[in-house]
Amino acid sequence: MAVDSSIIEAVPISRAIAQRHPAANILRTVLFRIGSAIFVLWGAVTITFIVLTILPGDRATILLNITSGQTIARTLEELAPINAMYGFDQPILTQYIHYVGALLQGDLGTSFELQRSVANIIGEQIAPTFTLAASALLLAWIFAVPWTLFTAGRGRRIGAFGSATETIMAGLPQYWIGILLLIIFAIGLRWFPVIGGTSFMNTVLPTVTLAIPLAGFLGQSIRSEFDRTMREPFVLSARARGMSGAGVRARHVLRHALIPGITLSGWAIGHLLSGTVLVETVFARPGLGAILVNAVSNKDFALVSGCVILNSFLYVVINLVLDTIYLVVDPRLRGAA
Amino acid sequence: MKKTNSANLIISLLTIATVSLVNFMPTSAVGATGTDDPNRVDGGTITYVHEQEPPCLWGGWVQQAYLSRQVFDYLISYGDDGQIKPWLATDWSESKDRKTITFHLRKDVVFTDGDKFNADAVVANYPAWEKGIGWHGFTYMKDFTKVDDATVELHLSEPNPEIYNILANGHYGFQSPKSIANNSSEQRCLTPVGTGPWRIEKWARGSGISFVRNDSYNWAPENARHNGPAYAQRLEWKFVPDATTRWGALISGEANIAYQPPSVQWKTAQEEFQTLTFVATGRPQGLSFNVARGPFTDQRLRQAFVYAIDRKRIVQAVFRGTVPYEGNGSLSKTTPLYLDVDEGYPFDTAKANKLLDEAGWTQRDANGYRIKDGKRLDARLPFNQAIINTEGATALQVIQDQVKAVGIKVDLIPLTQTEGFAGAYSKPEEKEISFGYWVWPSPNILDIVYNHQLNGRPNGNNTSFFNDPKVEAEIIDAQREADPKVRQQKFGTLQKWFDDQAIAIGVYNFTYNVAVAKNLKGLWQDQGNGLLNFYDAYFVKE
Amino acid sequence: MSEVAKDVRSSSSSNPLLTAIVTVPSSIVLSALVVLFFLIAAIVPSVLSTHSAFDTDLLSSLTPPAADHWLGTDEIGRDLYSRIVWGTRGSLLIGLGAMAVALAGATVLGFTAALAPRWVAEPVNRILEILLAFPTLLLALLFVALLGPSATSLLISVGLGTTPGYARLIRAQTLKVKQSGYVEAARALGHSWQTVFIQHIAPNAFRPLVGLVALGIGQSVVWASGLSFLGLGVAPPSPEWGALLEAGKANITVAWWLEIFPGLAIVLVALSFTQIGQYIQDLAEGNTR
Repeated sequence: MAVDSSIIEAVPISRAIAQRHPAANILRTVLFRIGSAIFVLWGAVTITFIVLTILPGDRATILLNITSGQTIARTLEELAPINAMYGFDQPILTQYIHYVGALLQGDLGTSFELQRSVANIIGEQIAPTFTLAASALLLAWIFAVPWTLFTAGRGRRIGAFGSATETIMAGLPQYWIGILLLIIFAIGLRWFPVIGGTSFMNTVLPTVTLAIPLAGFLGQSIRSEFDRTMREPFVLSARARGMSGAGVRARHVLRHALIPGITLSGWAIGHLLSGTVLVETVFARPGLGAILVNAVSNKDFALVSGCVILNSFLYVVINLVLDTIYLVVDPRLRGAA
Repeated sequence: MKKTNSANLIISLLTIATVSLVNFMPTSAVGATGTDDPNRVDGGTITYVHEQEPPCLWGGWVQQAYLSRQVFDYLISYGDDGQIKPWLATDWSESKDRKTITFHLRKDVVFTDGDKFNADAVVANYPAWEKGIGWHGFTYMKDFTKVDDATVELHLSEPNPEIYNILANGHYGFQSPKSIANNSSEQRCLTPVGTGPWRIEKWARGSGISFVRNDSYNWAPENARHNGPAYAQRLEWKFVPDATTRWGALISGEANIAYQPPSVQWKTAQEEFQTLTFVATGRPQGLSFNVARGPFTDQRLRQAFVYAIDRKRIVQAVFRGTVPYEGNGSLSKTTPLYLDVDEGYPFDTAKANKLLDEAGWTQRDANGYRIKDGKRLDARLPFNQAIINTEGATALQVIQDQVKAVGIKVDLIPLTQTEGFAGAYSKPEEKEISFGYWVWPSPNILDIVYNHQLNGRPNGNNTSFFNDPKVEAEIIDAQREADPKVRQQKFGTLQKWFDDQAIAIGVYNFTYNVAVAKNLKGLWQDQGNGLLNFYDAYFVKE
Repeated sequence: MSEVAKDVRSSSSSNPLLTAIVTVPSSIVLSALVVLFFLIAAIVPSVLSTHSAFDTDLLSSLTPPAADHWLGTDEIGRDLYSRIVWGTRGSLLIGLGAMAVALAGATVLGFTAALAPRWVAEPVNRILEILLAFPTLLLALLFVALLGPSATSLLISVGLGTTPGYARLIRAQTLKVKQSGYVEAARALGHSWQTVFIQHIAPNAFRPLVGLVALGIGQSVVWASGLSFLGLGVAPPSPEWGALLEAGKANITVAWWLEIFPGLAIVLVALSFTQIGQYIQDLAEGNTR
């Protein structure tokens, strides 16, 4: 799915922190980060709990109807034992405290629809989803960096062509690309398997599908920073010192231009669930995406919440990793730290 | 996309010809020539691509029966000729009041965990049925009691001649008592232990289920084509929701069997592959009018609605031969004691307009919709996207367009899976028309869908909100009738009455189609519930 | 939207803008024409359509593109071109509406987080952070589940799903302006908070958003059609583009046009809005330099 383009402009928090605090305060910073990470996790769980509680539809009714393939209203006599079994008859607050309490002991709970522990389900489904997201990101970078390097800052016409290509890529609906790729390369030409799976050949088309719009966004964000940096005075001075045009582009300008790309990548991994849902659906590929869509449909709170926790956790970790990467890529920050 | 190896085609055309002579005659098995086919290759992996993935392997949903049938065995089996055949029960007898049935069990059957199948096992499974099968009450089963190790008695609250169809329908299979007692709910859901020809190796959610054959299997039903272990070594049951993708998997050779190919490819499927078709029992996909409140309490409006739509042509155009047209709104073609009313209510807009005029809906608004007493003729029609596929939704759109011509406004209200399963739009004040089917192997479906009460509460399955104690009494009377001839006549009268009243009218039959690769023979569909039987399927040398 | 446009105009001196208009590149002209076409389609579809978008004709189902049906027909004989034209309103409305919802939410949250007193700003900040950690699609899924599948709920879902990102951007920009010093200088000169906000903070905070808004409209159309594709979209027989794609999938092996053309419409709209957005952004940035 489309990447939220506003993220390109986001300012990395560490940049601000690194500039303001000397090295001695690193411990405080780390503690602050951990604290706010826990807060984010708690908030995400609580919001999920509230929303799933107010979602229309009675859980016990859904469960009864799913197991019998019916779509009818149920009587109280039918519902009571189910409600008692899963604790749906307890006050909302009790249910919430119960869940958070178990969570603190590392228990993610049980999916009432699938009759399985949430940890098991996520453990089983995370690998294919993560593989897909990571390989798509890699492929997007492999495309976007040379593409920008060769088309940015080389005159209006080439730049416009490069930029238009990226815009088209970014605007393509993922599931649409997916369907077309599947029809052409799997069903028509038979180069790839049709049935979804997790082998290498099974991963190629979903990866390309996910990578195309991502590469478009990456290219756009790298390009605009690239163009901006090309106008910086230090580029001119490097040229004046006798550095070759290609050298300046590769060594100085590109380095700066990568920063928004890295921010975007972190965002993309942090939101891998959004990105992979549609692709997994099109290619009938196992993964968390389809599980999540179903879990929301069936008000399967523990499972939705498990996915949210996973996603938020990833988001927090990625942000920490990114902050480190900025230090490596951007020498200005290294001096400050 | 229509790549076909011509040499293969010639050989297989011979076998296809016998299968696809008549479109919707039961096509029991594809190209099987018996146990001693000289070309048979033992072993191999059968790959089947199915559409929906249920939460558990076993339960009351027909999607679960498709799976359970591979792993469980049943007391009795539904034969191709409609006769009930012995399976785990060797023979049985009914008491005089027809409320007690005594089953004599096989003594050589063991579960794949080593547990023994006997009277205790049958008794131990009953509570699981009662709890796990939502509509269990409609079978009139009360309980099982043990007579001796190899004899059980089934007690019914009402005589039920179709109890045998029900026991054979894929839901009432046996799990090992040990596993019921000791296994976690996750294990019982994902890897239940049966006595069947396959056992579950792994269920990879979102992807598929791997079955391996049960090598000690030696108790196939009498109507199976062979006894002993299954021919193939493995069965890969994949979940592929999209029809085009399933079709692609079949034509590329990745799958040997594809569930429900796209309608636009059905002709090709019949020409270039083998096909199996099963028209589900129970009530067909049809329209039920709200007869408790709103405009359709008037019989003339219901009839006008039916005359205004060209059901035969709609079904032909949208489904392209994959499903048959069904005129009867109460029972589908394959249900016991079905009455054919396909020629009733031919497409006739003049008649529809006349009926609507007579009913007083004479004024029209700017868009041509009819008005009476200042109210527009609106019909809300909620439909559940988990129950009706894309083509079903397309058929509804044509219906909407056709009744517009006589001035009826249909509002199609699509429900999400959540809303559907949460029972949204199930109250009389929320809709004028309902659309849906119910697979059920017995004419007592009339009791299920027209009885206004269930255990003293409103019956949620009664989507027309029909409430007429006299007719309900007649339904129960027909159900209890001991003489088969008289029973048939009584159920026939009832179906005719419901059709004349146009309380529910049929549109098309819920149909289970599969396309099968030409090198796979012997696959058959059980004629009670359409369940695929992979046990007899084998590959042939090409 | 109009407010944003006004800011661009007021904050730029008239000369460069005029020159810019004269030298508009052809790709922008083309994009503007595409947007114009779809705007007309959205407002008065009957002007552009050749057939009814809803009348079925079972005798001419799945006709390939030809003179009487420019883009072919669907499985029940409806004219695809006319359906795309009639579907524009729903699709664009979702795109524009979602963007409006996102901007409204982001403006309130973003400015509050940056400017309000600490005891208000901090909680808002935390909430923003939590929402950012939520997968966008999950937010949208939850809202569709809450409101039921319809154009309105798609619009709100996509809008709310994309709000946190924009809010964070507004907050970051506002903080930048606030810390730049001239806000304090203006306050020292005796300007009221209101004046400072309207004249300095808001224009600067909104500037980078101008291009993103156009970009976001296109993206919202893509998002919404994705939800339709998951079966959480607009009711049939509405010809919303995502719904057309979803319906076309079943027949793709024999009727490619049902899948290709609605997809192209989405791409064209997304592309045109993005081109215009980038152009406006370049103008805005050029003017500040």
